[in-house]
Amino acid sequence: PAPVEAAELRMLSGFSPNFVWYREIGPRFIEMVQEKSGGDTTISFTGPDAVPTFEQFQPVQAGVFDLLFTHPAYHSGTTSVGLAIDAIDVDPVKRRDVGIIDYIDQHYMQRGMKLISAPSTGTKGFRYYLREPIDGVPGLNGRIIRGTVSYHPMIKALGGSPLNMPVSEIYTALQRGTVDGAAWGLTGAKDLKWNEIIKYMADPVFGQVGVMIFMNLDSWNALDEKTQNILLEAGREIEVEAQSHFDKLQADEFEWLSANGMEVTSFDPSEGNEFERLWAEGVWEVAAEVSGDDARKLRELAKSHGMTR
Amino acid sequence: MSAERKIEAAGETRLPSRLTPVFRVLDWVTSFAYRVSALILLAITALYCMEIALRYFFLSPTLWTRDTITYFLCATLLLAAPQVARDNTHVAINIFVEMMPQRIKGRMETILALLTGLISGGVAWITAQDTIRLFDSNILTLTTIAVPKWWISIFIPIGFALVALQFLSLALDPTRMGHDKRQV
Amino acid sequence: MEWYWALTLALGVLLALMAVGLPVFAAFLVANVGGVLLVMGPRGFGLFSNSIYETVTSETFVTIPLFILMGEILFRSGSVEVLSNALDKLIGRMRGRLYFLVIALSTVFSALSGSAVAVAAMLGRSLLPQMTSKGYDKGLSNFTILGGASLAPIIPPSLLVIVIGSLVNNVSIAGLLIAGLIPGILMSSLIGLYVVARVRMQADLAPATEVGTQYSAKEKCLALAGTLPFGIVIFFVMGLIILGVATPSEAAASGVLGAAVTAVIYRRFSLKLIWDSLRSAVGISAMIMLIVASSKLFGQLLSFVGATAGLIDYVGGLSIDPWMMLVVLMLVPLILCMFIDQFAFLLLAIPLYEPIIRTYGFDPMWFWTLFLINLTIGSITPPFGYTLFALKGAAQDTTLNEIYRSAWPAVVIFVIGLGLLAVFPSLVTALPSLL
Ligand code: NA
Ligand code: NA
Repeated sequence: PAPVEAAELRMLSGFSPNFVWYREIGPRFIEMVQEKSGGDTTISFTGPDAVPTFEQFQPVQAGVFDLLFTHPAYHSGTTSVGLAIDAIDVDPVKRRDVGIIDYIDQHYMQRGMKLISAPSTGTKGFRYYLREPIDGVPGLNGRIIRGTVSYHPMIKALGGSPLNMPVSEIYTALQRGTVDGAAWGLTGAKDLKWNEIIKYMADPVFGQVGVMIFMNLDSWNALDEKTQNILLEAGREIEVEAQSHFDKLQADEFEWLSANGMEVTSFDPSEGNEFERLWAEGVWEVAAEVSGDDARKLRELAKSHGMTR
Repeated sequence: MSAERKIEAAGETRLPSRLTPVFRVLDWVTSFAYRVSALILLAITALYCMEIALRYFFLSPTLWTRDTITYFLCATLLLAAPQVARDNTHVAINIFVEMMPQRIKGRMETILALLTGLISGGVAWITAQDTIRLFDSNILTLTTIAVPKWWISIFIPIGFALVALQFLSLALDPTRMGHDKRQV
Repeated sequence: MEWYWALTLALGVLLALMAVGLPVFAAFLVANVGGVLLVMGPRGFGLFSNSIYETVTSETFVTIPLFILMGEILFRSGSVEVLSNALDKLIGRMRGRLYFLVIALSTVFSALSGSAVAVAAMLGRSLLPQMTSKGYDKGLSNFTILGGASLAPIIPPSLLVIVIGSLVNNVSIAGLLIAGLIPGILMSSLIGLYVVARVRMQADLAPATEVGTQYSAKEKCLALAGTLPFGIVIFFVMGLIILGVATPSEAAASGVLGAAVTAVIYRRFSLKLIWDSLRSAVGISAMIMLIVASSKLFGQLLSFVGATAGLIDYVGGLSIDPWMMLVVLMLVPLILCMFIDQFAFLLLAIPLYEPIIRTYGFDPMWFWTLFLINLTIGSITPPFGYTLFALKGAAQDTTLNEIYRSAWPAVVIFVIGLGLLAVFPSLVTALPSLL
């Protein structure tokens, strides 16, 4: 069929529309695309109520939806190359210039998906949110900690037991004590109202985190070049915007949480100083476990440009 | 209701006996699956008790118990479902059917069993395709201990296929249809 | 298609399929496979398969077979006689005492069993024949059994709570379980008061010759001590949850262990007992969970076609008084559950109700507990109700019509109780807030 100039695209999101990671990126991306296309290309939103967060990759791959707004750890059972980006320094321009994004894009295209954008939610990524303060070494001794697979090696190294669960279930699990804590980004705890049920945020922060916007490859190929370029441009711009925007949001959120009942508890420096290493090595370990050589090549590429350990 | 009256009610004559051995094999497989299912539930109970003890008395929760239990749940439910079909105790709202005159009632029950058999067969097919996809692309679970997802999902087509066969057999041979619906 | 047409069509097809007698799980499967083909074609089959996989591998649902197994072991281990004898002694001399024995027994048993059907069948087999032979009024006897059995899903443990709690976001299942305790006791008291009033007004409802023996305090204490093993079970289940030692699923597993220990104490333990209980439990669980798994995609499809969002916008735009909204939300299940299965209804309703609850700012713990009680009533509203059928199955010489007649007063009493809980939310929310 002839390439389409105008398109109504359907986007599936792993986050609800009012959750900060979507709220601060998704609508802005949609708006940019609409503006650049003079209103010819529109994007509609479908949330995790229609398809559970961890089950979203396949329906987009199958073409039920055109776009996917997600964190790559949510489809780590299918491929882990995407989640490896969380071990690579946040520098949106450099990531593209040295070919990191291209490499990941190529990998996903072999799986029927096109990587449109990989915006980071800030320069720094994560911390642990806990029910009880840290006491002693190892800091997570005997605790069950919610985390996607990316965190598992690190949680284990800190003496804890990792448990994976979708965002929507964490609040209840923390409340009930099904988990003793959760590894999470530096934004989002406020939206998830964790301050209502737990008291501690642990220092130091570590790693970097981002979301990704993918497109079904057939839907992508059906677009004309102009529309394709519009999507890619919007994707690139949102990557640059997001970093500084989220750095500010992170600072605001930390202040807000501190004012609303949460306090900082710190890992022993002997462990804290190791956080970046533990995190990056853990992520690469997980990536290589599922995606083998494809992940190792990405690591070499990033290492050769000094962007990971 | 006696078997004879059931046949009469269904307006059918006794079925060709060449299907009987087929049904016997089907029932044997169904009953075997049911026993395996019961054993798996025993294992689930044991695993949980072990996990609680390990966590609270020895402060060493395991990484694999929770995941294993959820995999076992899939197996235990899908392996027991065919026996429930065999006993014809799947929940149905049968007030309407019960109001019908005997002759029509029998017919309706046959049609309903046939329909249930067909949709269950369809679901077996759909979920089998999906399991094949999981196998081909080697997709892993998102759980702490990642295992190939098809190891678990394969119980779904197996369960639904047996459920389908049981309902089809009920449609083919109304003497196999019990009439007491078990309730929740 | 406009959202309301999609919604009407989907619900209409589904209800029609159920009404003609297609097994509930099959009705959901037909609607979902049909829906997928209609709105996304065969490429949506992956979504369909995943919806089943997600349900049957969800840790929350492990609780269901375990709660059932616990009840099965207890029922088979002679617990009915032990409890019944002990309560009989505690009640002592009293006019109409078997009515109160039924109420007391069902209240205690509700803390051991998660399903009304199991309790109704048990009471119908064990106590009803005694009551009939001793000249108790048939209608009032059936009433106490139906009312008493309906406490089982309200007082923890409860299968209905597990299903509701696992489908509703951001409500703690442990909290929801515990929230049922005070409402359950309230309902139990209301049933008792009704019996007292009836017996006062109409003396021949209770045989004058049957007033029982007065036991000494020592005998009463001994009888009470004999029931201690049940305390272990209740502690293993609710105690561990309240103390935060175990998740509901883990607590259910420890409850199974407790039930087995009880069987040992009463010298009823045998491998056969465990084996029979296991077989029965997996059968009942498969029956329930096949419906839950088959229905999962239905809500997702409604969301996909925009019906959920449409309904939320519509309801959000209505300027209805919240109390009016509550009445509407409660009337729908009350009427529909006269004719359809309450599991089927809750699976249908939750994805549609949840956003409305949020829009109106109802306290989820409170609302879903009212909803739970409402569904329990649905099981005793004629003509279709599992508790009714279970009693009919157990009581051979009672007609379904007689059972229907005794059900209505129970329905009215539960509705009154529901009203009280709606007006005094703290009766529901106080206990879970202590967690
Ligand atoms: Na109960
Ligand atoms: Na009813």
